[in-house]
Amino acid sequence: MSLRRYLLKSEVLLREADLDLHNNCFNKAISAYWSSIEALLRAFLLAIKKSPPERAGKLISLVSKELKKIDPYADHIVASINQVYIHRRNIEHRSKLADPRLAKYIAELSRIIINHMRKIISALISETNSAIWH
Amino acid sequence: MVNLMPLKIMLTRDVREIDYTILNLAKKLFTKLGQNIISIETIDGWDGSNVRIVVKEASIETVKKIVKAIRELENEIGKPGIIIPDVVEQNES
Repeated sequence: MSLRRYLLKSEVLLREADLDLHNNCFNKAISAYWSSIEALLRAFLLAIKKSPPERAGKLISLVSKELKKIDPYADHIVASINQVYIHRRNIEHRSKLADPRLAKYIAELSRIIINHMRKIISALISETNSAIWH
Repeated sequence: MVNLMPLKIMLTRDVREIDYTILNLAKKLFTKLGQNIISIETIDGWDGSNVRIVVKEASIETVKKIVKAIRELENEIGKPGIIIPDVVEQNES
């Protein structure tokens, strides 16, 4: 899948996550917030010409390494990504059920991650475009 | 009364670099989370995770502290992303 398709997918999934949260579907919201982030992480790796791993853990690990090279806020962002993923895994694959507090916390973290990653990806795309034209 | 071993570190294969990292992580987690930590083990998880941390309760605060400890350790050893954690509650492990 292309970078732009992942960006679009992330946007659509974020809208769905917000709708789920608004409708008190807390478990679905957490899954959708993670999926939106996951699509952006794949877009980020494609933007730096790296192949995104299939498995989510490996994906976070590679993003962590690459982000650290270019982003002074990498530690904070990767810590937030890890938190969202850990909670999502417990909600989606284990017996834990989400409560409103957890869902709102994940929504807050996800917005920070998504806004930050969008800025990074936009900068990377502009850089590539400018290199093509000069 | 069951006589539980207070601490057991067991290797079932040759020692690897990641094992030393996990031992250091265990030290940090015991210091920060005390008795909320049940066990720490290396795993080969389906999603690529390589450490399972079993806790009494995987609350927002606990997960936040675990992730912070991991980031600190990775920065100390200069290897971002080396630890891919699976944090699970005691009743699920």
